[in-house]
Amino acid sequence: MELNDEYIDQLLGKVPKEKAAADFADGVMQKIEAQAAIQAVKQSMLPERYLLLFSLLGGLLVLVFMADFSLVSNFFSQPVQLFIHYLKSKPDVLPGLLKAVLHLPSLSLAIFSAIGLLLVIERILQKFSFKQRAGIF
Amino acid sequence: MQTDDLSIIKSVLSGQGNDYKKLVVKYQDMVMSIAMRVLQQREDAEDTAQICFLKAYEKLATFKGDSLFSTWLYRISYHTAISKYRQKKAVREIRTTKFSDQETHIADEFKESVTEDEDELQRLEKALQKIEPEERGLISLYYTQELAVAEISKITSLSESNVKVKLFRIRKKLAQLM
Repeated sequence: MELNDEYIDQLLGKVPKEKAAADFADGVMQKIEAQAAIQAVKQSMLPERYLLLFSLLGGLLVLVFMADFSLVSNFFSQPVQLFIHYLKSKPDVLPGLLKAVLHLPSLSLAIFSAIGLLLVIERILQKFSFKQRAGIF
Repeated sequence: MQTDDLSIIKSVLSGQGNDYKKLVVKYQDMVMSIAMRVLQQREDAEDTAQICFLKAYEKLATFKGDSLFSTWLYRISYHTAISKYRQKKAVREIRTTKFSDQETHIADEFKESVTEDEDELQRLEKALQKIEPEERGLISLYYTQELAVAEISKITSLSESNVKVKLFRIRKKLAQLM
């Protein structure tokens, strides 16, 4: 037997309401705090990545400059075809590069020390700004 | 009431993060009710209710105050609960099959001790489990939260006439299932 619409309507009105757990609000606030901390760490990671990238690019440029400065200045001022022609006409360029590579251990030590120093400075700066961001809780 | 909510929101956005707890305490039962009605499982409902409040916190700056904060939160809760239900659908089907016999057995054991009214409510609960999550959400908004059709229309993005038609069809469906 199918029940009438009015009866179902009345019955649905009697369905009890759910209650959240006593510590529900505390749980939500803890999650918000945790999420804020994660976001702060993520924000501090991003500039670190960029710093690393710029440092590596800087290191690479140093290598190129050490190889042959005229090679670099010519590269920026001449079209590609002329640059290829230049490479062919100057057989001492490639040995120059090889020489730079042979100097790599001492050079890389200098580059990586610079990168390390940059990262330490960045970490100190981020720690200071993280404390400020986390201050709302 | 809306003025209270708006002043709390302003306070939270100005850096007093802990004030958000006032909003959580105020609306936790409401969000929990919707989540529980849609998801039918306490554990899932609690997780979802927490997610709703986290989402609301993250988007708090986008709340312009042109609707009630409760309507805005209902909207987040309704849609989050339904999407959570869809994610968990496969797992729930396995659980329902596994425990359905056990649940029937428990229900039968208590059958004699409950009053006629409680018995009807139990039958209604069983029928509610068989309808779609969107339909359960509508039932929760209309009957449990006692919201007007116009407000439900804003929350669900359905037209007012569509809400009325759906509520009528759901009642018809429940009557058949009982």
